[in-house]
Amino acid sequence: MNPFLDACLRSWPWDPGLLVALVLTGAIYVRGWCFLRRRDRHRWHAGKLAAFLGGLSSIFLALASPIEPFSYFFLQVHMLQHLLLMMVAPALLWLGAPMFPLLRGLPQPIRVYWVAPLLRSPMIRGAFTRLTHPLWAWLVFVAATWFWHLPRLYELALGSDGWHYVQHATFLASSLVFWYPVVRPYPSRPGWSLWILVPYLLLADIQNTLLSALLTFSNRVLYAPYAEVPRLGNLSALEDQAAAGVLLWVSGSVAFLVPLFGIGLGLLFGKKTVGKIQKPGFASQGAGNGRIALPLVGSVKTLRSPTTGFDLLRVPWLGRFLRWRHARLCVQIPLLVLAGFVIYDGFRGPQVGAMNLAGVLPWIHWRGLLILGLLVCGNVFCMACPFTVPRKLARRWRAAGRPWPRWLRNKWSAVVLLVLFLWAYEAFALWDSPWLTAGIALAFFAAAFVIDGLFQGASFCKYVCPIGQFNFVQSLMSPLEIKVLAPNVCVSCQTKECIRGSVDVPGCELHLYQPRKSSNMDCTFCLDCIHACPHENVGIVATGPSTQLWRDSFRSGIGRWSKRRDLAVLVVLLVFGAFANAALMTEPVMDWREKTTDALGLKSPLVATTLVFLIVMFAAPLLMVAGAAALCRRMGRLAQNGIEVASRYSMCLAPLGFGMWLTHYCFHFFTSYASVVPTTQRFAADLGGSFLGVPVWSYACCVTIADWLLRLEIVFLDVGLLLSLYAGYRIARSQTQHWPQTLAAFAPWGLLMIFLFAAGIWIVFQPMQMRGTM
Amino acid sequence: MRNKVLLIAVLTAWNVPALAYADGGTVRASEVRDGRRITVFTSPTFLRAGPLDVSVLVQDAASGKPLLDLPIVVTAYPILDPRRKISAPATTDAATNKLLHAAQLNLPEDGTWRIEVVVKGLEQEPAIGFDVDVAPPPPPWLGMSLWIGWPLLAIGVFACHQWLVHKRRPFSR
Repeated sequence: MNPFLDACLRSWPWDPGLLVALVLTGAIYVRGWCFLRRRDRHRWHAGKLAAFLGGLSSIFLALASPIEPFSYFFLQVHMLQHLLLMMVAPALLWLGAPMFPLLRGLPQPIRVYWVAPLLRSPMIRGAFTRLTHPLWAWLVFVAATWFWHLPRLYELALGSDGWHYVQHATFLASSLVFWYPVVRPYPSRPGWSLWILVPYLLLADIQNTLLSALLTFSNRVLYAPYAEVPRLGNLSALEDQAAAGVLLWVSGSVAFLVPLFGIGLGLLFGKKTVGKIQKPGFASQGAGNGRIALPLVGSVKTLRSPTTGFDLLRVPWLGRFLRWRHARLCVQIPLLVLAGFVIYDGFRGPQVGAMNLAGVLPWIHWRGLLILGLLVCGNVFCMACPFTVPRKLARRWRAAGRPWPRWLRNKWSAVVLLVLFLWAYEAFALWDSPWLTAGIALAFFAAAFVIDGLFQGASFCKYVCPIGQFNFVQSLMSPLEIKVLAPNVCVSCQTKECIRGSVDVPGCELHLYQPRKSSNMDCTFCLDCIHACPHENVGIVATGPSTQLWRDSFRSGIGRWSKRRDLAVLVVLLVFGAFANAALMTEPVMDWREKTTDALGLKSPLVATTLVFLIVMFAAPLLMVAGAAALCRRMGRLAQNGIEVASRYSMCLAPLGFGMWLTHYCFHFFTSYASVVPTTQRFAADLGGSFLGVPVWSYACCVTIADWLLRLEIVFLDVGLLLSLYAGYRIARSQTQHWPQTLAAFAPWGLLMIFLFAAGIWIVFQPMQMRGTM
Repeated sequence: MRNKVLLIAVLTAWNVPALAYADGGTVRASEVRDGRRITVFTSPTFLRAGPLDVSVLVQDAASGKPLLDLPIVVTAYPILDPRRKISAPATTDAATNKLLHAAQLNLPEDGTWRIEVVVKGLEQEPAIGFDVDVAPPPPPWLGMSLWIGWPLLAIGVFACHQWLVHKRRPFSR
């Protein structure tokens, strides 16, 4: 092949955003089209599918093929790009009648809760009807065409990627508006005479001819950049401009006059109804001009069935494994062995965090994997928790214990332990103290053994374990939940094994009665309810992350969020703890701590650390949450008392806290994951096993922080903020009657979330202490 | 004041149309050397300390035919300290437009920099050189402003959605 041509054909720009958008749109269309085709093969024929996919392909060809890089050298190539966006892609997209397929192809919650209300909006329907009227559509199209062909604006687009995107978007949008009345895709019903289309297309062709003539016959180069770029081949800039004009002239005439000819024939010789004005309005299954029929959109009621969603237990092999009675033990044993190694190495190994399994495995790998597990699955660490294995031994030793004291049946003891744990982490640099880490792990084993040996149920997990409380709160943002599949089965069930247990399997030891359980709070994913249910009516099903935060229904084993002050305090501590924990490893905060220590004339930074900790974990949350609750109550004119308001709204901060924990732990995990290699080699060598080789300590140095990691951290915070804002808004909505009142009640909490988000963004841009590495 | 400067810088980077553009860059120099026309483009248009894309188009001066896969080296150094040179080979693989040769340099600081493009095998070396003014690097968060700011768009869309849905009727529970 000619090397020049070969080079041209290999010049494909890489635009992943565009590719993802087009593929996603295509996939949604295909999904909806397949559904509709099953109902009406005649209407939803393959031609529609081909047309729509052809339209998407045209956009791809225009923006992500060799046309794009060469459009900077040749005006005619640039013109071809614009013709694809203005003449080819819009017409093909409308020929695919995309409204119903795109709607039906969307996931049901998006269709029902987000899109359907918009389609019902009289304002949107009215605007669409007016915009697609031939008069307005023609004006919009012609204005966009001439506006962007003014030399100054054309040059602006050529000189800036941003403006070039705007130009392309304007062309595509205005052309979609223009071609809508011409194609009239199903289910549109024009409320105007089709005869209007004759002058519509004719005048469009005339203005196109004028523009083409300007380009073709001009004796100077209209767009200066094309006079400056080097000429490829022997074509001068003026000849290139003339060629672009001819291309626009011929292609435009074909695009405008061929449909005009077809429409004219239809009006003169087609069915008599064709030219008649049809009253805009709803047909039984169709719609008016630009109005979408709603029955296809679905109703809210159909969302209630939990059986239709994804169920992890239905996944081949994995589902079978999880249904196996000893599945949990199988995942606990490897972690038990690892915990044994950590404790042994913590006490016997070198007392340098980066060289010891107790300094690396818990603080880099376990924390990173735990939070990622919560993000993609659910409370998998509690499922695999090694601390509860001795509990089973304790049960054999003493089968029936006493009930957990009534006054301790809350989260207060866990709150105290959590605060102590977070404080000790900073005050005693636990990440760099293998023997303390090992001691804490041992204490967890001992506490689980003693408490669950003495008391009934999983009292340690439910009321004491700080790690468990962390997991319970963060798993509210997880995408999976253990849940009843068919509520009707539970209504007829007399034996209630899920809570009472069966002969071989205990019922839920955390007192969560499945039919009345909603959310992951207090659920350890122990799978006992799944194994106990004789009807196989409990699954690990997909759920909307954070959706339980704004629902204040009564939950089995928990009660209502608004009545649980202990839970609210736990959530607030975990949220502020996330920011405090991350901030205390940044350079500015560490500098401040050192200066404060020097200023106080102290040798140890313990006092300064405690001071920071007290400010961030007690003073700041108290002031901010109390202030937000008071303002919320006053501005929203709420009837509840301040504590109840604070308890209810504190739950909505949880996603932001989760985002910060995710950001923090992923930072350590992705920058220091390789540190386990030399540490394991060293551990094996110490035990006399040289089969892993000499420790390669260079792996214990953290890697350079890549741009993608920073972006990922910001995305975690972004998503956390949006989920928090949405949860707060939904809570406000549930307590108010009208929009202004909702906004007033929500505003203080929204501001608090934005403040925390800004703090998170500040933290991720600071130089970080690389803990657990050399 | 600093915020205003930043705002102006951003708007300038967004708006300023330079003399000519190719492969997403601005034409900085175009000269004939040894029977070949060498054109150099830089991107972005508004130069700041940090990554800089340099693209080179080499053509036969007589026919205008592009010459491919030539050994080209791009070098940059501060005018005030020519010893601190940064070099990178320009290759067609690194270019989107495969008729060009592209190289990426990382300019560590602001000031006036000299860029030189050497096409190996030519009798006259360096083939082309020119000076560019490089502004200080933007604050790190500005480079990530889209990543930080996209929730604003989502919030705006959501607010419109809720306004359209609820402006006529109270909430249903």
